[in-house]
Amino acid sequence: MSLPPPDKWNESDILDFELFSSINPFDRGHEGLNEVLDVLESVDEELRPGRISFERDRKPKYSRQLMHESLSEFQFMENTSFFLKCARVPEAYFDIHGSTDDEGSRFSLTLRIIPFAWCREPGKQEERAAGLVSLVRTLASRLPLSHGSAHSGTDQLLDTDPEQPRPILPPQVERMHWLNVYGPQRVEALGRERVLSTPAFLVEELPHGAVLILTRPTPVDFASEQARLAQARALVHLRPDLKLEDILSTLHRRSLAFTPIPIQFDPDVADILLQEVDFQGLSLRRQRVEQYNAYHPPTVSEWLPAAHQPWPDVPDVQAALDLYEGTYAEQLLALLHTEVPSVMDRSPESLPHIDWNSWHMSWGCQFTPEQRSRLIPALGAYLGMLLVYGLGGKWMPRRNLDEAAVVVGDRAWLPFLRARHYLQGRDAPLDYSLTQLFREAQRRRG
Amino acid sequence: MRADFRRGMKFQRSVGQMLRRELELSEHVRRVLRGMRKPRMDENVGLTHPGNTALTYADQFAVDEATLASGAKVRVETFSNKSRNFKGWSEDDIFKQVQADANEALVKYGGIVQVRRPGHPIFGQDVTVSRVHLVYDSETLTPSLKQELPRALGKKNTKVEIHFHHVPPAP
Repeated sequence: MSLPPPDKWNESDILDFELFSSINPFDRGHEGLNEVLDVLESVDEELRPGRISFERDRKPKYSRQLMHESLSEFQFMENTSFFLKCARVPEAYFDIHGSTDDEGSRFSLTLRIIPFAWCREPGKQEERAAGLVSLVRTLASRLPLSHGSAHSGTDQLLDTDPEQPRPILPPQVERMHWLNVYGPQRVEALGRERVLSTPAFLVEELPHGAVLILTRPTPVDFASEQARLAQARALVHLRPDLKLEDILSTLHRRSLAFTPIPIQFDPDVADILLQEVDFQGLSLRRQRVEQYNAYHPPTVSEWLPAAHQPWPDVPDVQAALDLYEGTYAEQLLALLHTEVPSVMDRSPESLPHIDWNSWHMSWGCQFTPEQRSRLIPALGAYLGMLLVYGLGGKWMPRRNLDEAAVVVGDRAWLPFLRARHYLQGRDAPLDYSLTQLFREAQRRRG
Repeated sequence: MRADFRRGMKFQRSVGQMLRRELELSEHVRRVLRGMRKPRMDENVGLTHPGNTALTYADQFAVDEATLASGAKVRVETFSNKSRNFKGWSEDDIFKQVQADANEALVKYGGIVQVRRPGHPIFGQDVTVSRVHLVYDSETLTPSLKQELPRALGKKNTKVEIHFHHVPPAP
């Protein structure tokens, strides 16, 4: 475990790009759709629409014709809305919406560039940034823009109170993004002269009274000292009521989230903890790594010296083994094969996946005693089988499952007892993981 | 399939419990039932829409008893629970599904409805639903998605309030 490079640490960040207008082009039906598609098709080749996203299993290749044919499918009440996947950035997509009702008209173009790393590709940063700026200009030439921004999604999340959704349009300018679009109303409210004299990398007047401001040439260095200073200076210029030092200190604190720290998890459960860290996302990464760096599971206690393991007391040993391996272990596969596909490999590598799934899905506190009584044999038998086939162990079945063991070398390991402990509390799948027992047994075998 | 059905029922029971606990809190402290002074909550309430005899069942149905007297406009809020498992879904599919769920909820549980459960205080009356709620099982949604999803609905001016509920650990 070591210090991850910044690009790896930050790999789950997303570039969040959105532009808004108070005109709905879809009021003009197919003609409006054409205008929107003109804009989308004008972007960087890699971002251009590649597939139309209907359902999970229906994503045909993008074509204008299909878009027009599908227009009625995109409509629901007063809304027109569709999702397009980008051609060569597989997880990136456009989310387009327009509606007109008695509250007025609205249009939004959202582009989520997943992963952010696409913007960071060495040698292509300026070009890709320029492409995004160009998209703003292209849309602005067709529709009056009311506001917009492009910036790291995680940085924006960090600045948001989890209890309150991030406002679509904050009443005041609260932060400067890499790319900022202010519509005529905002510009007039701030003062046009003031806006046009913002200290920034680029300030450009757009059609219909809007203004574009770029704090830096590209979005990729948003957490750097230079970029934070640029963001702070621009913000204080537009909001003279704010103090530069306070803004800067807030921004620098946020930048910590993007600064890697060494990952030093307990080796036996590191794989489990990493899955949880990845799930929690970049905005919580540093917090979670600090927290889990300090965690160690209790020593494995579900074992006896092999010499003390009682002999089988079952009437038919082979029948017991068939029950364990044929019935109980298979039950775990049946239960988990969709959630945890690697369980089908029947391999030690599947154990951290099983453990994370159990921990994350609260197996330790979800089940009734009756459900637990059926899970324990399934979990125990699966672990036992891995001890047998992976480490050359030998089953010692017992009528009381808690006493049943797999003897590996000089130790008798108790997989069913371990499974019982595994389900006894919220964090029990982590504290009494199958992974840790298997690894301990592997080490003891030598 | 059976496991999904059980999971759905278990989730619905848990959401019902969560809302019932809210009934005991004062209006300012409640997080979900915020628009009502004296909410009354019923589960699995059959509803019809004008001109249609087909019944849809709202997982939870709340009426503000404070609006029942005196000819004031009756305030009603409906809930649809979704214990969907989003594990492995791409982001665009998640956003698209939630939008589709919201649209469906507006049709089935929004607009003008009539309660068809005999004995209910507004049985047989046409009322306009003031707010439609979607409650998702939060287990398979990342922290960032839970913040982004309500915003995505807001961008489209979708009039459905979205909540995330974690089934609390058994004691």
